[in-house]
Amino acid sequence: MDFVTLILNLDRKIIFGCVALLVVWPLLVPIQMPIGTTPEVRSIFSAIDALPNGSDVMIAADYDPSSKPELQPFTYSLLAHCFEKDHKVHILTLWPGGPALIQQAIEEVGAQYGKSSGTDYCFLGYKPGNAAVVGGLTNSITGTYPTDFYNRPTANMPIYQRVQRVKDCDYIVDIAAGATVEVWIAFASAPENVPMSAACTAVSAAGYYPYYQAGQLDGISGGMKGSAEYDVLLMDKYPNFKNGGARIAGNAVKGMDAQSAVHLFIVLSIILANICYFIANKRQREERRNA
Amino acid sequence: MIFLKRQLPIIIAFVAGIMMWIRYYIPSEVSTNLEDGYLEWVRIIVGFAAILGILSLLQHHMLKIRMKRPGFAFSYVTIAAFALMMFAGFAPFNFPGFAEKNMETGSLFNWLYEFTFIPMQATMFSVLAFFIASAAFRAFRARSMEATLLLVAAIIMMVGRVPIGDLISNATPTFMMFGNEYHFIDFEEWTGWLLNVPNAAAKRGILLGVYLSQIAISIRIIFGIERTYMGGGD
Amino acid sequence: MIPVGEVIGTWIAVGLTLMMFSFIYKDNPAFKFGEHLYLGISVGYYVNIQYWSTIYPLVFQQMQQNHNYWVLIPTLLGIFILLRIIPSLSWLSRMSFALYIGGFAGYSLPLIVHSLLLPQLSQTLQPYGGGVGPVINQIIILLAVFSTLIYFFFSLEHRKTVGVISRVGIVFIMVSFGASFGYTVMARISLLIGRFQFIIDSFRGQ
Repeated sequence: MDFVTLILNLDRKIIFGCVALLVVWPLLVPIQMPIGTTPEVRSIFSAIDALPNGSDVMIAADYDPSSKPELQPFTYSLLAHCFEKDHKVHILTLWPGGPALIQQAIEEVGAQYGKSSGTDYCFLGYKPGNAAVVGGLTNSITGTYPTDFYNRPTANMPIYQRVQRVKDCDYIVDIAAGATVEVWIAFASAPENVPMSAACTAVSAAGYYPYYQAGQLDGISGGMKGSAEYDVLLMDKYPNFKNGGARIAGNAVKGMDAQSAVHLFIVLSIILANICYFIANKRQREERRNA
Repeated sequence: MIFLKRQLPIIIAFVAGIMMWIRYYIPSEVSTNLEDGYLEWVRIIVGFAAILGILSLLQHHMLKIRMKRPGFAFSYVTIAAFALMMFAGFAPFNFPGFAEKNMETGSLFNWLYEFTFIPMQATMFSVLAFFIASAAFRAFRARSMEATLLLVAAIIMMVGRVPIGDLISNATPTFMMFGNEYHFIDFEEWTGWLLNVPNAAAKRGILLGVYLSQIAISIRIIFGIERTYMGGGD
Repeated sequence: MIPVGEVIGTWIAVGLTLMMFSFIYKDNPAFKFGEHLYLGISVGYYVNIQYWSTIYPLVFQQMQQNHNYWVLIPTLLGIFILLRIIPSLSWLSRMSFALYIGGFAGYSLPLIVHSLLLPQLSQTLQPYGGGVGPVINQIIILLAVFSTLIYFFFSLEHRKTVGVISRVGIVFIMVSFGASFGYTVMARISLLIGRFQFIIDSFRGQ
């Protein structure tokens, strides 16, 4: 069997093995490639950073464990960024699989920054109905969420003495694994005129560019790379964050070497397979002509 | 009975649809209360609708066990895991070794979520990485102009949006144009343009079609032309 | 949570992760066990979350604490939905779906127009300016949006002029799908990295 035939009939388990090796190796022996930042992620960072200290930020963490590696690092970084700026955080989820992930993030980052529930932040939890929830928040946050995730009444909380509805918030960030970004734009951000950004899975990132291009989203963070960029921006500006512990700082950054290695492997394998495909096609044509 | 089964749902959809539509154009306390009340009802109804899917799934596994279909033994695993999760979530006491009950941090329910639900769901989706790499190698061919365009755009994105793309770009020589310095290969610039211009425009074309059809379907539902939500039967 | 529980839990999680990964070799009983276990755990989880996040605070607490008995109406409609699994009573679920879907059609209609359709259209048709580069990009965007719409317009036969425009549309659609595919690869690899990171951290005791 010659090289071309060998490549075109390569056992898929060899590809699987290469992918596994290229993921594990950089995780065990990091190269620490420098991570550049894109304008889309810089826009989110600057928007949060430019808000006056103590502003109200509504964070919708609409994802579940299936996209944890992509989006959970962003949630940690965004929460840390908000608490660095003493912003008040209103965090909730429209995904049923999400509450326990957010609970981990908000309790951990909140404790690290000495923030208290009900005063500095409120974890509103999950409610079903997507647009029915977002639409409800435009009328009343405490009406839509009479109790928080821990079943404590929200109406008496100090955080909700100033803020009644989405319009009273200064910014919205949707950390989304699905189509909830459109819901937030259509039912909250656009009608209430509250600026908004989205951090989404890489799968859906390309689909949100029409909104970014139209100015309906200030920025887009796509997948683990977007989360890593946010980490880099945060670590550059706030040294405290850098010393904040491995769990908060740089979880996404750690994965970028492996991401680069596997991407390069896939691209090279596609190019090699295409060259072999054209050689094989040419041979077939010649054989047919000779016959 | 025919009225209850066929005409009443259409009347309900019409009245609810029209009321919720016109309240948008009449901003007042009444319309806000109407909207608020309706949305609260919807949240409760949807809560039950989510349970419907779950009941159907359990029904399927019960049936599989009763009919002793191939692999029915695994259905016992599903039922047992479901029962355990229900017990953990609803039992009004702390399980031994756990500080909290129900869904609180430190409860058995939370432990099961963290150490079984998260790893299994995350792994199930991560397995796709192997198959997508293999599929790209085996099937991604520049067979036609369209396939070549797709392939080139995908390659630029795959290299350009990870740190190695920046390294490659910075390693290429530079040239001057309109007083600015450019790299011969600049993945950041290329991916940025690709996403913001052709990608955003094509996706916008698709989205506009989606919005127009959403509007058309909404009108059809309100006026009783679209009735698929009623399901089959009488 | 007790530390022993965390240690045991981590090893269970590693075991379950490897069990699910075993599918890469081939479909096997270990994967089947994991798959069915996941199904049961997730179904139990979702029932709990729906109850504790929706039914308990929005129905029971509303009645107990605020004496708001209006919530009994949507509760009844919710129960009607559950009756869909009983064939003789499944028609009752139509009332609930009619209220939900009909009302929502009216609720979302003006917002789709105001928040999504019009801003996207106005951005496509905005005045040209900002230099040579941005003007070229704006022209490309206008051309791409129009040709993509024509490509998906099936009421006209795609011949002659319409055919040419739809061919231009497919060029942009393919570039867009290529960008999405590149990002999809990125997403899947990220998830794999996450799992391997978890296994490595567990072995290192982090």
